[in-house]
Amino acid sequence: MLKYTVKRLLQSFITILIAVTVVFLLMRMLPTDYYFTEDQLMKFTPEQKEAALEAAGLLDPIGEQLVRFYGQLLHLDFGTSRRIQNGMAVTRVIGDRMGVSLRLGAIAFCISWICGIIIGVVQAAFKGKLPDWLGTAYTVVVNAVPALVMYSLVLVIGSTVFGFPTLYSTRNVGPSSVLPVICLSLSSTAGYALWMRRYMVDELTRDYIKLAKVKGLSYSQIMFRHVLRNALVPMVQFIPQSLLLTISGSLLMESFFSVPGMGPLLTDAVRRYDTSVVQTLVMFYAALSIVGIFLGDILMMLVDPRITIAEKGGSR
Amino acid sequence: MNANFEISRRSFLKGAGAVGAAGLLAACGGSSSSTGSTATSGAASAPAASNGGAPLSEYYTWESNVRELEEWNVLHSQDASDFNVLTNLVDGLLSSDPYGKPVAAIAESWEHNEDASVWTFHLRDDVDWCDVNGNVTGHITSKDFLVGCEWVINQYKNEAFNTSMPLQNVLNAEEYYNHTVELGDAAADLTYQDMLDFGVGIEAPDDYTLVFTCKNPCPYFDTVAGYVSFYPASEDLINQLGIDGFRYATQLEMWYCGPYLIEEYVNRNTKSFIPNPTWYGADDHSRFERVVVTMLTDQVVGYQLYQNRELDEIDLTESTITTITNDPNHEYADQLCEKRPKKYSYQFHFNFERFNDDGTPDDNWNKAVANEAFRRCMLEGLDLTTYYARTNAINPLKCENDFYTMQGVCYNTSGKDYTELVRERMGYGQYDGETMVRTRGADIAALKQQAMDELSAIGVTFPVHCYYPILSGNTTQQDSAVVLRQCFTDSLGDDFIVLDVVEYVSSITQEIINAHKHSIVQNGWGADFGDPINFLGQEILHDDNAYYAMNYGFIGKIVKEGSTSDWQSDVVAKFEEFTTMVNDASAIVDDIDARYDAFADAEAYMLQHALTMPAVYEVSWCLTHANEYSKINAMYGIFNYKYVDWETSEEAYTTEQYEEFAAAFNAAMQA
Amino acid sequence: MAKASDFAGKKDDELFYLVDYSPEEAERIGYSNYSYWGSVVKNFLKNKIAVFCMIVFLVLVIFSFVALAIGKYSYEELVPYSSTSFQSPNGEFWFGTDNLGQDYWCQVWYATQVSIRLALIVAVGECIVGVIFGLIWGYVRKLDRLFTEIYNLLDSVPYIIYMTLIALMVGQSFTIMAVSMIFIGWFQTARRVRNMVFMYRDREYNLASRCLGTPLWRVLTKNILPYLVSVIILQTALNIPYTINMESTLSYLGLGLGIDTPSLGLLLAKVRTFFLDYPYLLIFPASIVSIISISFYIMGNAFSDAADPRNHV
Repeated sequence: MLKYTVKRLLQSFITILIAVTVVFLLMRMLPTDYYFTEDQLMKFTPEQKEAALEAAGLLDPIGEQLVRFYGQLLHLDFGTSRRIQNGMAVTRVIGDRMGVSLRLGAIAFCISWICGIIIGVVQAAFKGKLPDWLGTAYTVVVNAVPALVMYSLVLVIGSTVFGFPTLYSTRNVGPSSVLPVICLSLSSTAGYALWMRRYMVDELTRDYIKLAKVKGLSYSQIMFRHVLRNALVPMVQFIPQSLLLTISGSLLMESFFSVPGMGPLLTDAVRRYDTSVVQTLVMFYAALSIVGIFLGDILMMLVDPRITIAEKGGSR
Repeated sequence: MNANFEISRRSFLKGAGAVGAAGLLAACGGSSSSTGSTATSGAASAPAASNGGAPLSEYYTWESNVRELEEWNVLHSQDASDFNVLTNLVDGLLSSDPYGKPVAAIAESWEHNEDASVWTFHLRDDVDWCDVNGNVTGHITSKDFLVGCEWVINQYKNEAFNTSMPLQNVLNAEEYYNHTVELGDAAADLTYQDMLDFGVGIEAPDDYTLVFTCKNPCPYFDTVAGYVSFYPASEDLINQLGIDGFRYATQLEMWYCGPYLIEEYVNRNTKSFIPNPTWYGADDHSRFERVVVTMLTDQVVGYQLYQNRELDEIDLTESTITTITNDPNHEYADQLCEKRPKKYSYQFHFNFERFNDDGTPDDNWNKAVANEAFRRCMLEGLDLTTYYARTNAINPLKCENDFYTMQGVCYNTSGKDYTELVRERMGYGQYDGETMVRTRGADIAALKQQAMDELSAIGVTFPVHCYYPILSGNTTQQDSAVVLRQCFTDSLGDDFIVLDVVEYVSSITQEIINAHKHSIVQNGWGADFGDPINFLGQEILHDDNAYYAMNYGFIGKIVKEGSTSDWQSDVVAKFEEFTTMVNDASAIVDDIDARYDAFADAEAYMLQHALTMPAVYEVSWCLTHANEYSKINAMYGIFNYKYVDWETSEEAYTTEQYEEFAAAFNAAMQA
Repeated sequence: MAKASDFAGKKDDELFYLVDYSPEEAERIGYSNYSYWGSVVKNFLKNKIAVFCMIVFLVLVIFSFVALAIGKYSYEELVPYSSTSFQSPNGEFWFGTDNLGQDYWCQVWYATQVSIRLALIVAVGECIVGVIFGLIWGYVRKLDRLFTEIYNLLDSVPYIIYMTLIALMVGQSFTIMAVSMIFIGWFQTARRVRNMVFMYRDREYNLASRCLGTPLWRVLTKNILPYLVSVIILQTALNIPYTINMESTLSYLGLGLGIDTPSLGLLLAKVRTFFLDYPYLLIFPASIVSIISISFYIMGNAFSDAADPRNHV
């Protein structure tokens, strides 16, 4: 187990390195004028542009830049932002935002995972009856209405009817987080409910359930001792990844409510061509998703001993 | 986020502790004023509101999300979105009054010698630096200006930012800049004394006097001296933070000398300002106890915030305006206020060297645009009223721009706006709210026939395709382009010119302009200083710094490279004549009136031969609790967002009041 | 096989008689006329609501053509006209007009066609590519590591970077959009398939098949795929609303389709700023998006129930 873990982490490390190299090269495929704002492009002479690029080391051969970049990585130096917050260390730019996204995201995830599973279980238990229909209706409506529209509705109803603040504000964190959290939870709750119901229904048709019925186990015993446990297996796999991914924030929600989180950061950085921020974010996201999958696999192995991922000698 | 909480300097918050902070701060969301910060507000009282409402002590305003500040060092920044913040935090030699004329800031008074080549500024002796908490950290003397100037023109230190104004105007500045380029990393060790020894035209005879020597006589140098290139910098702070540290000093590290301090800053969310207790102007100017700027993703949210009075002003979108104007009983029906034009003069720049997507010259367009009758058809024949309605749905024609130079950039000695001089020469009438000024009485049918005849003769096929770039995904620009296309169809006919819309993803300069893919492109130019040369100088030949001629229209480039085609000889001749006129005007330095008259002649020549096509002014509508006309409205410099001496009112201003303000303002301007 | 009716009215001793040896009959197994897909369709048709949704969707598709044909304005000839802007639905403009005074009816239906076409192409494309790679990834152990690396690589570079770079370098069009959306979407399906394969790969019957030397593709398509069909179909059905949604996000970011190919996402992103004052501008495209999405959710669920072999017989 330990050996497997170490090996896998090592592999992941290489993956991240490859990913960030790819991004590094991709970002440098575009002409250097992208490093400047439109205002700067207007006011700069070619010599000034050259000088500014030179000073930032962006005119060196690509290999040299890459080597320097690796060197900086070794010292855990992720560089400074050029455009988002000029001159600020990337780690600080990201760190500032991460907390906000993580807080909102984690709350929303807990709410939606628990609600989603409850709804899914209830739906499966009353398959084809009214609760199932209501649950399906909710799932369907929430997923069917485009996020842009749904957020607009939440915003309007939440602010005019219930009087919640429209925009996220650091002066008023509690109340102003309500609408963002609702927006985040609405759709993911539906997602979890949908899959939970699916897995429950799948389990219900299994032979061992038929046997349990024949044995005379009560309905609730079957549901909780057998069906629920088995159906939770694939659900568990979502936990680490979803939880970690909340750090990356929600692009649409965060720009909608002016939440100073991670969501719009990447798009912003790509569009403003803030290469250090883009590279660091990519590494960060890559690490997050790899760790997420890894933890998910391990968690799945823990809850379901039949599943093996590590290669065991001789079994194949 | 926490970083921004830690710096809170209000004692009651510290007492409340971290847990209670959020709850206590919640009270600040409304307009109730907190007790902590009032002690620092200035002695001067706010101007009484002319509509009878009580003046606001805190002001809640907004900024578009895409215009977030990117850096805090005013010397190193070149973006208006940064300056709108920084102008409240640091002051320079001069500021501006609501009419756009230079007024004293750190410099109390100033004068120049006979030929306007030596300018002397007398500084106040009571100006201090302070840190973000309002503690005095230093005293500002003329030395700080020398340090600031050296920083800017030292290529190693300021990375070539903001150098154009000193390099073009100050004696030996360019030589010193080149010297630092040659030195490379060694330039880090240069000090202001090295700069003085090098002979750069800036001196400090004593602690409170600063003397600039210009390269050439520069009658408008007072409008140059207010620019950020000449802002002060503290040598102590540079030594303390190091060069890299100072270059990118944040709001927590930088030193302040302006009217406000930053209280809280959350990227893409909020900025709040509180008065700087050490500000030299505290007794003479009124300030708010707090200004909060909320970043908005879109105006719909902003309108909602205004309705809840979480904002004190908001610009209106077309749908909101339509709703309000269609309903006479609407609560805001009488509160629509028309703003003044923003400081940019938008032009449709013609491209004289367009390339197809495959990089080959698009000679059909290039031949057409080289023809004067063709260009005049566009200039004089295009009825852009519906296009203007996209910017201003109520009074579209207020957006009509007929000049190359922006209004209000400079006035002659009898107080007449320079653009009025051009208007006289062009024989244009005044705004009447019904038809466009420049299309009145033009015989387009004849011009069109002439253009088609002349162009057919040299093998141009009709319709000519005119390519117009817009930002992909920007629905406002898309809609405007659709309307513009319709204007072309309605005014000129599809058999003549067809407007084709091309999209770019991220950078118009990179994807469109540098690739020569546009036929016409709309761009706004805001003045850097108060002289027509700043505008007209961008369109002349034989000058590598002529921005539009070199980089947008490429006429300057064609001439420079000598790649003129036969059919371009006429337009090149026109540009040559224009260039001569501009250069002659620029040489007149002893008589302002004669100088402006000569520039007006040149600009009129440019318009008569349709070398450019003026596009729009940005005139929008808002709901507001502040009197626009009490704000600084300078066409150059960085002062327009200074929250000083504003007239505000608990009662929203009405349309009627704003019309009175406008009338009174214009009367005062003429006086 | 003999049916019960064959024996009706026969005497006892007529019920027993000698039958000649028949090689074909000897080879026959029970339920031989069971057809997997036949059962799927039969089960699906039993679900009235799903059938109703399918009809609604088909009607919507057909109607979008009819609507464009009978509309008073044609999309290609729309003219901005400020005097008619923001008109509520009326006899002249059936869906009202937008901010430029253009007929909204033809815009909505035209956009509907574009969106449906895009969503279908992307969903099917992702499904095909994803399932093929997912099966191989999950089943062939040696390739697991390779695929995991590829997955990690693709997954760890955020799609927004791909989309921005593609838009900058290749341009924007319907085809580019479709291909790039498949490119950034297929590996999610593949991963889900791979996880499912993991759960079934080591079952005894698969071990048996392997021992019997059944070819790989046959094990995959006959033994494993049927178990996955329900999940795959659900995933594909869900991909359709997801694609429409993502397309609207991309349009919002300026990475969507070009100006001349309006999609529902583009319309939604645009009218979002008007909807407080003129709700009809939002209601029409939002309802159509909702109808499409709801149909596919219900159809997807019904179909995946029907496709589960354990529900058959």
